[in-house]
Amino acid sequence: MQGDLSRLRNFVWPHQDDPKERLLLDPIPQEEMNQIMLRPMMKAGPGYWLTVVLLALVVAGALFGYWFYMIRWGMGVAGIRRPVGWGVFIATFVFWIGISHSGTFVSAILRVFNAEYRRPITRAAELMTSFSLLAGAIFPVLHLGRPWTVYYMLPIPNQRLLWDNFQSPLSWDLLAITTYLLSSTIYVYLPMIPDLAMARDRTKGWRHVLYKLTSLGWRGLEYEWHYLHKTINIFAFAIIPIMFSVHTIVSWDFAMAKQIGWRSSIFGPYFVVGAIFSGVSAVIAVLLVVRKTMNLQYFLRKEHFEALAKLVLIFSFTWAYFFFNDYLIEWYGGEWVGHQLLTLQARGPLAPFWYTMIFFNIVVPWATLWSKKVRQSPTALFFIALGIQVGMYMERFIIIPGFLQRQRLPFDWGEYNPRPVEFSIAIGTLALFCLLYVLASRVIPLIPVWEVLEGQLSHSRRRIGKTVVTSVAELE
Amino acid sequence: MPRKLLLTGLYTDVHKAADALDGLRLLGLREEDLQISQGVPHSSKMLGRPHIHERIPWASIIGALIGFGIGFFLTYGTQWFFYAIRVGGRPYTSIPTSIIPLYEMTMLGLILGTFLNFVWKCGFPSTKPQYYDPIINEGRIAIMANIDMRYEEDVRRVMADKGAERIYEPERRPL
Repeated sequence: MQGDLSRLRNFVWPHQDDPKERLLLDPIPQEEMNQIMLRPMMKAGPGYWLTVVLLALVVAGALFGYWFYMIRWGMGVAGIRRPVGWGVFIATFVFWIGISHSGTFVSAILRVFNAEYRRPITRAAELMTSFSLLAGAIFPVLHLGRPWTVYYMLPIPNQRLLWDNFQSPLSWDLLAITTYLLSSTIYVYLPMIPDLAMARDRTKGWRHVLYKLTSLGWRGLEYEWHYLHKTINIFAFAIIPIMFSVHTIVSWDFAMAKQIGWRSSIFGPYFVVGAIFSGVSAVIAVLLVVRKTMNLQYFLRKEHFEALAKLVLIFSFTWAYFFFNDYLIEWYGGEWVGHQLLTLQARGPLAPFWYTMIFFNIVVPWATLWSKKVRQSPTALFFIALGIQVGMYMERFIIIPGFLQRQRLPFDWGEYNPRPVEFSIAIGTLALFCLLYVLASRVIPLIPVWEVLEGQLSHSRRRIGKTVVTSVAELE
Repeated sequence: MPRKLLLTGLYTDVHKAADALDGLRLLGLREEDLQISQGVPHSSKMLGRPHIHERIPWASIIGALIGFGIGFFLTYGTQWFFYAIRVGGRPYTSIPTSIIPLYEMTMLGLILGTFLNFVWKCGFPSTKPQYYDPIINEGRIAIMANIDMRYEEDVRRVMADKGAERIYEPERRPL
C-alpha cells in the first residue's frame, strides 16, 4: 500500500495544454479577425514595393530577358546536347509541378479527413499550387525553342489538318496540367468568395470594384452557404485523383522512355510522394514568411507548423522508402549501364548532388523533426524546409540530366554542363512565383476567415473526470 | 391584396436566431417567407430549417459525361474521322494510352460542371441591388421575414422577445 501511495505522489497529471495556444479554442470577435486579415493587405510600405520591384526586375531580366536571348540565338545557348536533351529546364519543370502538390494535399486531403488544423493554412497553400503550376507551365513552352509553335500541343488541328498525338506522354502532360491548373484555381477561388464579400464591404476605390466583381454578389444566404459547402466537398474529392494523376503523368514522361534509370514501374508513386514531400515543406517556408511579414501570428501558430512538420517527417520516411526501392532494384538488377549510373552518383560527377540530396531529404529531417522543440521553432523549420527544396531539386537534376549522361551503348555517353542561361531562367521562375505570391498577398485574403470561425464554432473544452479536454463537434 | 413588408431581425448568436425562427413559425410564417443571411455558416440543422435539396452531383455527372465525350472525340474521333497517326507500330486507337486523355477530360468536365452549377444555383453573378446588411460579417445572423404588413407588430414583438439586437426594414444595396 505504501508503495502504491509513493507511486501516486510521483504521478504527473496529464498535461493540460493551454487552450489559448490553439487557434480554434481562442476565439475573438469576428470583426477583429477581419481586421487582422485586412490590415496588412491594405498596407504596402517601402519594403514591400522594393521587394516587388526587385522581383519584377529578376523576372524581366533572368526569365524573359534570357528567354528572348535564347529565342534569338537558338537552343544551342543552353547546355543541352546529345545525349542529354533534357537539362535544367525539365528538372525545374518537374520541381514546380512537385511544389504544386502543396495546396491540394494540405487543403483537399486534410479537408476530406477533417484535419481541423488545416483551416487557416489552406488558402495560402492552394495559392502556391496555382502559382507554381504557372511557373512550371513555362518550361514546356520554353523548351520548344520556337514558342510560337506552341499551338501544335493544343488539341486543335494544325495547318495540315493533323491533330495532336494523344497517345504521347507529352500530350498527356498538357491535358493533365491544364486540368489541374483550372481545377486548383477554381478550388482556391470557391472558398474565397465569402471572404471577398467581407473585403468588398470594407474597402473603397479599385479594391471595392475588384472585390465586388469577384464576390459575385455573395450575401451569405443559407442556400449560398449550402451550395458552397457541397461544391467544395465535391471539389476536394475530385481534385485528389487529379493531383495524383498530374505527377504520375509527369513521371511517365520519363518512365515511358527506354532510358536506363527511368524505366521503373514505381516512378509514378515515387514522383507523387516526392512532390508532396517538397510541396508540404514549401508550404511551411511560405507560411513562415507570410506570418512574419503580414503579422498573422493570431492565425498561424506553433500548432500548425508542428502538424506540418510531422507530415514532412512522414513523407521523408516514405520518400526514402521509394528511393531505396528504386536504388536497390537498379543495383541488384545487375545491368551494367545501370551500375554505371549508380557509380556516377556514388563517386562520379553526380556525387555532390547525390549526397546533398540524401543529406537534406533524409539526414536532416530524420535527425531533427522528431524533436517537438525543432518542430515548434520557426527558424529551424524554415531552414529545414528550404533544405528539402534543395534536396528535391537535386533529385530531379540527378534523375533527368544525370541519368541521360549514360545511354545503353558507351559511344552515346556524354557530360552535361548547364549554361548560365538555364540557371537564369530557372531562377527567373522562382522570382516569378515569389512575385505572384507577394502581389497576391495584398489583394487576396490569405486566411479563410469564415473557415476559422466555423472551426471555432465546433471546438470547445469539456471536463472528463479529472481533466479538461478539447472536444470537436460534427457541424454537418 | 395585402401589402408585403420585409423585416430584418439581427441576432448575435445562433441559439437566439433558432428560437426566433420557432417563434415566427408559430405566428404562421412559412419557411419560404424566411431568409437567413450570415457571415459564418450555421447549418440548416442548427437553425431548425428544412434541408435544402440540390442536384449538384447530377451537374457533376453531366459535366463528367460531356468531358468524357470530348476526350473520346480527341482520342478516337480525330483518328477515325480525320488524319490517323501511326506511332511506333501501335494501333491507331489503343485503349491503355487513351485512358489517360479520357480520364483527364472527364475530370475536367466534372470540375467545370460542378462549378457552373454552383454559379447557376446561387444566381451568380448578381448585379441587381439586393437586400443585404454587411453587419453579418461582424458575427450577426440576420433573419429576413417577408410578411404581410398587418402582422408587422406581432413579428417585431416576437423578434424582440427572442433577443433581436435590432429590428429594421432592410434596404436594397448594390453589391
